[in-house]
Amino acid sequence: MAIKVNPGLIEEIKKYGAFDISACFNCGNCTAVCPLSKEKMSFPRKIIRHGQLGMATSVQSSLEPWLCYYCGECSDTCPRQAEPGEYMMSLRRYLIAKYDFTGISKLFYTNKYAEFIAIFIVQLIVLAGWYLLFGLVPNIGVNTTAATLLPPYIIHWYFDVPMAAILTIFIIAFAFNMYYKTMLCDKSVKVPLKLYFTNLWRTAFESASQWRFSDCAGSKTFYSKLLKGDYNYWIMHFILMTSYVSLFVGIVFFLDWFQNVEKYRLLHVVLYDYYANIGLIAGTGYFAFLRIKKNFSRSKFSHVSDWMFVILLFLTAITGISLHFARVDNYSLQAFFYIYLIHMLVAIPMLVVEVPFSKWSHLVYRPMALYFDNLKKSARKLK
Amino acid sequence: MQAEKMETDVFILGTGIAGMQAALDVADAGKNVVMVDKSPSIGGKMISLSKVFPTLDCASCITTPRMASVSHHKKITTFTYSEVRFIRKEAGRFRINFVKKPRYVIEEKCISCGKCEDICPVLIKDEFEQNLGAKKAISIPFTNAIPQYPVLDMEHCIACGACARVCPAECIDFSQKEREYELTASAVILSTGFEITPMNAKEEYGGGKFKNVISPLQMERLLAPHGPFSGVVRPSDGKIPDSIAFVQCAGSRDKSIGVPYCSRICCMYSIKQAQLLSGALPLADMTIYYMDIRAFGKGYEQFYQNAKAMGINFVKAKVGKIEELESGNLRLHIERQEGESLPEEVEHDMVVLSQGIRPTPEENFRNINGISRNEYGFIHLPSVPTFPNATGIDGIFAAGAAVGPKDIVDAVQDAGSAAIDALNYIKRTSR
Repeated sequence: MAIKVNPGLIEEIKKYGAFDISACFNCGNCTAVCPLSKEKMSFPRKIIRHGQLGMATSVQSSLEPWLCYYCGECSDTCPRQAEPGEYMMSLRRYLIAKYDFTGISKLFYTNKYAEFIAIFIVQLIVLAGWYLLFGLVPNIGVNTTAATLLPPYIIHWYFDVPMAAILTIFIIAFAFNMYYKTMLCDKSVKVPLKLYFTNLWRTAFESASQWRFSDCAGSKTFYSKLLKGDYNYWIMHFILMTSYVSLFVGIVFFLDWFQNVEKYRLLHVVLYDYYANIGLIAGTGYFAFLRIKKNFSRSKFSHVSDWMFVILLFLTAITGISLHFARVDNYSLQAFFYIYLIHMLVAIPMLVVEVPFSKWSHLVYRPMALYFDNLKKSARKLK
Repeated sequence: MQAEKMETDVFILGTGIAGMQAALDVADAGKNVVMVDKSPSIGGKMISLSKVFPTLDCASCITTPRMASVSHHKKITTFTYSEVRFIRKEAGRFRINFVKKPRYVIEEKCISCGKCEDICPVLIKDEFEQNLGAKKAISIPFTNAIPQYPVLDMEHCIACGACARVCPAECIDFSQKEREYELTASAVILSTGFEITPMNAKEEYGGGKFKNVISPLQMERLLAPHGPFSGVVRPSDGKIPDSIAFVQCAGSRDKSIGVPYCSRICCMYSIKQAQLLSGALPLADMTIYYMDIRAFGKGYEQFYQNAKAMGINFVKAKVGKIEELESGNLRLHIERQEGESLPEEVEHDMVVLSQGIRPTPEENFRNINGISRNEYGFIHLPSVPTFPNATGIDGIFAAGAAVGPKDIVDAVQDAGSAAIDALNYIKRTSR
């Protein structure tokens, strides 16, 4: 079979991250040390080779980058110091840009300012919407309460729902594109329809627990890993992910209930007031700290999008908590109004820009890649 | 203490195979030579090897006559167990200051009977056997060492006095002091040799930690006819190994341990050791995990092909990490790059880390005025194509592995070339 080769591929991939993958001489040390690289799904060496050879189709149809959790062992032991771990990270950015047929992701990743400009534009749109609905000065009468000043249903219908719709449309389209590139184009294995259902529970478990992530780094026992702190990264990521997902579901789909503290009070207090808020702030703080200290390979190189991810999420959490206090502790309505506005100016651009087009999309692609990988594995076993 | 003054034509630092060759060449041309070595015997690393590639000649059968010629040559004076303090160029000649460390044995009186060694109650690690065997606190360095004088290890000596009582020549002197020498020479040859990459350089291979992960020099000793165990057994439990793995590029071509260059010799000595092992252990499997085989010299490729034909397994795979199992066996993580190219875990009884060539430590050169070292720490040669042995200082020449990775054949040729350079220099300057 003829393979179309794109000689500029490696240079193109290099635009997505800081690394020197051309130094790689394909010894395979990385694949041999990788705790996750198993059987047919072996990485990073093969995919580095494919990149160097310019096999664009092969790189774009690969699931391997999503199966890597960047423990950094390959980068630490690479004889050429070619940073294979960072190459995998850059490939994930490259793939996000390829799944996104609009070209927006590519712009965000390859242009330093694009993401800032995009966030600014979305902020302007939010501000305009806010101005049309509520004005820029709160209209406070005698009987005005928080609920009548900024009614949850208006926020829900005018902000949350359109935003959720945009996100959903983009994400579904991109995810389908991923499905097309990685599954439909792969003629080497045919997956029977039945497997799509039988593999669902496994994928659900994997994505909820991120169990593979915990296997990353070392092959020692559970307790020694726990005591030595090898699990810290996975645990913090798990806390951050669950905090984020519970808040996202609560706010975007059940805003009414989310703002009504009295209904299911205990669940509300425990889940949101404590778990999710602490989780978000501690999680983002932890990752920002690692990125500043740069002690581990995985935190050594920070792309603009990585910082955006951490900072915007942190700001969202902080403004969200302030908003919550403003409501519960009966701050002046004026303060409430402005804190709400600031919160919206941070949260909405973050979701619109980051979720479909940038780092956050891994929330969708990673579970999908696990699902597809499992499908292919099961299909191969059937043969 | 007054320094003893001496004069000579050529001073040679290092008495390995390159130093000995250069010394013999210079001396045979009628010039006087003084040699200094920090070890208690001349012979360098080669005397501890089992056999040499690609001819499979016995290494000590080649080296021992060389050592004898050097020590008996009228024009050559050797100082072992000595350290150079400084080498300075003054008024066109070289002033060399070195000290002879005390052996606590009066060499002039010693008859090399070995009685002190027999009676000494203290056992210490034997460096010549690469720490695989033991020796006495007072002992002759190894069987065919030259000179055959024992060395007393003051650090481990319990001062029981047994050796002094038993010595028939009354030559044990616990109060011996170091002796200082001041030498004037017309030319200098540096043949300081090399070191192998430390075993713990790559933590993930467990070198120095796992008992059955050994260094190539240890394997040489195991294979040597008069080696520590009189046979090839693994260090942890004395089992005769059924499968032995060689991990190539374990100590070179690796930026992460600061040795980015290829050490040249590792492919060849591993193939040689594997061939010798198939003679010593006919039932054992030998596997060489390599990135690419660099058989660089005359007859070397044939040597490699012979090894393949002998049934030695060559697997194109870089070993990622090694785990020690309870049985003492070792589990190697590799990515097999032929066929389907899959990551795999393989088990072996014993592993040899094919360590590379590193330069000797910086302090060996610190007191040689004007000598510069290249980016890897080897002696810098400013004009390699035209004067391949000339260092930055006129009159100081370098030979052998001190200038970069070399095998024995190349080191010997290089030494001859340095000897001619030194002779020409003397002729040119004495006019």
